[in-house]
Amino acid sequence: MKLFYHCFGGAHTSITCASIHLNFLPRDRIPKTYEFKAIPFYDKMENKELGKPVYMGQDDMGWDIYVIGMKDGKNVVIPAIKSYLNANYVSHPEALFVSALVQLHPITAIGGITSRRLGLPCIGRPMTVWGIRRSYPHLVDLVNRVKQNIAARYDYY
Amino acid sequence: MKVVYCGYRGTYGAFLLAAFHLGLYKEQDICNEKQAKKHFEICCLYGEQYGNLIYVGMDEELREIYVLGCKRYFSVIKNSQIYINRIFRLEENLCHLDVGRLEGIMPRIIGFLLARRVNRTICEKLFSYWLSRKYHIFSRKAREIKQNLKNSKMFIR
Repeated sequence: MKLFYHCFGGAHTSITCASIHLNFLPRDRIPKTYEFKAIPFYDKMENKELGKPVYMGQDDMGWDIYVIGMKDGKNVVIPAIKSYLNANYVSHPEALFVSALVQLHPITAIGGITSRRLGLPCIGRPMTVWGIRRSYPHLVDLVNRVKQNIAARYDYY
Repeated sequence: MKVVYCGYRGTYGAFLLAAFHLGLYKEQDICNEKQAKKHFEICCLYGEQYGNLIYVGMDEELREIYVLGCKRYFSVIKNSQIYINRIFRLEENLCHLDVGRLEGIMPRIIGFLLARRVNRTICEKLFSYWLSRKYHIFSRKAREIKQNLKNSKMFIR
């Protein structure tokens, strides 16, 4: 089973969600800036690599966790992936897509554009961290709900 | 092997190229009114299906031919399908071809008008004009693509 956290650029919010899911980041407190910077692939996704799923690790239920950037085209890209799987006789429940763009702080968006599109990570990266720290409880809540749903649906634990 | 012809909408240039590839449209023929009408009907029915792989047929070398409407997300969809192929170990050769530049702006205008239920006859006239202009360009391109596929220059696994 594979779980894909997706967002606009696949560099910040989805990476953070995947890291919370995999316990790279704590759930009971807001992480410090250096903890975000230590996450693998944080603020690293290049524009030309959008659409490429990045493997983050395997969770305690045995699910493979991936991160993928889809620009603002999730309504096109997700059906394209699912119809491709369908054409290859892979059932949809094997791939689950979760949007990490919940309660995105505007500063995160501005920081993401500055860092990834304008190529100024020294300015953009701290802004993304600042924004994500503000919306961190929402991301933790999202991941908790995802894990609960998976556990309930697939009868884990 | 799967060959996916991609356009902003999957039923205009992408379908035309797929039809030439499969021999549904003949190179020597001139584009007649009946053919244009049938093609226009396909555009009306399936033009708005973004992200949905539409199976068109199988060519003489047993390649499966699909069309896909991918709006502005061709590169994202291409990346995602190629890497999904690897993640799920589908062992399928894939070739994505973007016909966006070749088909021009007209299909986008026609599709836009059709989606807003502007007079169908006007749209049909515009479509016939576009088809007659592009018919031989696409037939030449289809021949070129088939030759390249035969020489195995274009696919990615």
